[in-house]
Amino acid sequence: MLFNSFIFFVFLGVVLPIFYFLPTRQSKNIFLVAASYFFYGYWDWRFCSLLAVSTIIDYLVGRKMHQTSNVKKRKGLLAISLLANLGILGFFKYFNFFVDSFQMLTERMGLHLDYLHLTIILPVGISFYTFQTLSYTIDIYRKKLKPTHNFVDFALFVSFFPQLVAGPIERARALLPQLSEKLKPNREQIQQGIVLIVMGLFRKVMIGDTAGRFVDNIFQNLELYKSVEILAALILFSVQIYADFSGYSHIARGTAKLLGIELMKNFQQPYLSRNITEFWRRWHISLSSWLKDYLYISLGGNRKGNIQTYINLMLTMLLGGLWHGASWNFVIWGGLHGLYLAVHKMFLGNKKIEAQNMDSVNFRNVFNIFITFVLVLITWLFFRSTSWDTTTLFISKLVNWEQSEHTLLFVTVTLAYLAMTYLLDVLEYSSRRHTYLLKIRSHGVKLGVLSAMFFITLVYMFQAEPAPFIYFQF
Amino acid sequence: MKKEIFLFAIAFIITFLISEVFIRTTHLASVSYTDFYEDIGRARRQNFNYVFFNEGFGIGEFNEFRYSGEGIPPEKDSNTIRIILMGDSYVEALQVFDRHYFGNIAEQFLSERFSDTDFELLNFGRSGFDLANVYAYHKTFAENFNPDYILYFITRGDLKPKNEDPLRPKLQIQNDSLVVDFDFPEQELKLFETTKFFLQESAIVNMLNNGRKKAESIPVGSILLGKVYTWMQPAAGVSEEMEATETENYEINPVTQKIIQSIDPDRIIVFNRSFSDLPVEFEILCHDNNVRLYDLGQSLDSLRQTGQDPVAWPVTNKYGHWNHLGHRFVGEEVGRYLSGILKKEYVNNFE
Repeated sequence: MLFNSFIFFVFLGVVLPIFYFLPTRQSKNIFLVAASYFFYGYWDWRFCSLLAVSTIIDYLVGRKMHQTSNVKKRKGLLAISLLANLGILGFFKYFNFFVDSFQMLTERMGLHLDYLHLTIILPVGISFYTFQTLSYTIDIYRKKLKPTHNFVDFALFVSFFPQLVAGPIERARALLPQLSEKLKPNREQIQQGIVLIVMGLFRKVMIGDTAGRFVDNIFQNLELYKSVEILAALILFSVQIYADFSGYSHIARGTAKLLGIELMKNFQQPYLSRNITEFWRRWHISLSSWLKDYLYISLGGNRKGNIQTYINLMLTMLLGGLWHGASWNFVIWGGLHGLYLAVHKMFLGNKKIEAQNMDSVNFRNVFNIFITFVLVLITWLFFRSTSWDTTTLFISKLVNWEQSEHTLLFVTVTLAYLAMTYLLDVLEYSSRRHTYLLKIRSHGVKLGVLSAMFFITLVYMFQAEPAPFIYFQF
Repeated sequence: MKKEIFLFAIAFIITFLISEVFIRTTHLASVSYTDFYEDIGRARRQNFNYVFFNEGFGIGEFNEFRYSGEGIPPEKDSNTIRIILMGDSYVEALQVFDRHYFGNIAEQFLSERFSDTDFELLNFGRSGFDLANVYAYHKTFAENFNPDYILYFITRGDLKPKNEDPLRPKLQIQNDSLVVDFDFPEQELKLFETTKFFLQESAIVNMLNNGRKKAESIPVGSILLGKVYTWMQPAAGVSEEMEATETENYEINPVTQKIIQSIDPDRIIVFNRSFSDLPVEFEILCHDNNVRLYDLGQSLDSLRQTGQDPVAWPVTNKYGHWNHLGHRFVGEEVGRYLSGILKKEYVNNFE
């Protein structure tokens, strides 16, 4: 079920009143598990079984692991969880990728062998809930978390519908304690929830989806378009992916707030970052912090000397790239980010990296923001291209510049999208909150702005067709 | 309380206006493309630039002379062969850029083969036009542009006048002659004039209007409830009535018959633009009146057989108008055919 479809709001209209009406904590949680499975099964009910399998395995592994202090046994149990979860993920997401890559390699060596190629449908959001549930068993293994003894709570932790298919990837230590209390949203949460849903929907539908129409059409037939048009498409893709994903995260957080649950912020105005390290503290925060905690630190982090730190950064980002999809383009995307981070780290040495908002706007900050954006933009080319041929065609078209009769239009459209994206971000940045509208004192103004945005978005949604979230495929 | 209501209204209007500017600048939705003219009825707006999204994505203009593409005035040089392309949305082709349009591809094709002649292929396509609309538009408007050839692109479905739009001139038979009726219903005209300002000036109001049209064409329940709506519907059976109609003998509509009898066979060429065949009775009618027919459907189908679908749009996952490949293919096919005609090598691929 898409957040940007009317059926989601019908679903919410049914779920919320029943949820508020239910008297006990357990009944609320059971109901939310059922609603979450309906939400997931609405796309394809068969994959609910995968969700259930992950839930059962990790619930049992978590409990068993806690009961024993035998290191060998604990390692074995962790291995079961890793094998089961990564096995399912690997089969659905990477089977064909590795078979194809191996085939390519053997063919280059002159060996022509028959390989098995399966038609596999990728279950929506599998990478998200796999990482979420893995964090639970790893944290128990590291003795940072005690397992829950309530199966319903755990099932809800894995399947909680607002963040099930595209995050934020929540940690058990943040979400489970909330689920073990009686869920009852307060007035402030409801206000914030509504604002986040409306703002998220506006970002997703009016900015992300509409920018995506230019991007998708141009990238589909890159050979037909002129240099300025494809460059505009790449910049618009940077707008699209951010608006799409941050819009989704806003709606997820907003919906969760309506149920009395706080989810982590997934985006903090990443395109206002002054360097690449700051970018990764502001972009897809739940994934980057997951990779840092469970991969980078497991590899040794920065404790084993400079060279090893650079290698660890590179490995983490390469795997982060592969997490996005089974394609070498994603690996290159991750590799480039790893390279940027390593080079940045090399220049910084032991100096601490600022992650706070800047205090003043000066030329240096604006220049750094611009350079960081350009560096990130280069990586988006590899992320968006569906093949190596598309990437090389794109680059060759930029090198052999061709004039377009529509230059002015493409420049205007691109600037307008960038302006709207930055306007919303600057408002968030300066108020240091996603719900900056609530800072306005007058209820009339707040309501006026929100209802106009909601009305316009609904009108657009009604006459257009809903576009899926980009990150659903991951 | 009163103050808050006032502030609500002001905030709503300001947000609405900012959104309107954003929508217009990014072309995420458009204002209305149409206007009303006494001589041609409801038509595309003069001097109007558009960015269109449907199956594909096109950028173009309706020029000062009220047809699509770069504006070429009615007057024509003696060394120029002017060909007017007429038909429905396939000919209007809002889904592709001008440089990918089949008319421009055909023009380039001809220019390369006849270096001492200039070619002008003008796009007079109009969405929703059937053969009667095409003929009326040709006689009352396109003829003013001094064409040497006029190409009608039609399908089987275009052979029966539908008269769907009350603000389009109607073609009728009066005293055994074809007459274009410019008598538009007063009420419709008034409604158009009243709403015109809002639809032409506000993309948001135009979106509302598009939503209204969508709600008229498909059940609102299916928009709001998605899959749930289909779960609630009983399974549809095959209509016996439909099957019976398919097997009936085809009867040529009198207006269609009169059109074919009236057109100048030396200047007008009829193209079947669809995969489906035109009725045999229509082919005979054209043959009897020396009207040249060319079946693009056969060629398009042969292209499809090779695995390259000329009407598939992978981005939107739709099948519909010609895609870029379709335009290139049709452009070259039309160019080749016209080239044969210009070299006096008459070709007719109908059996």
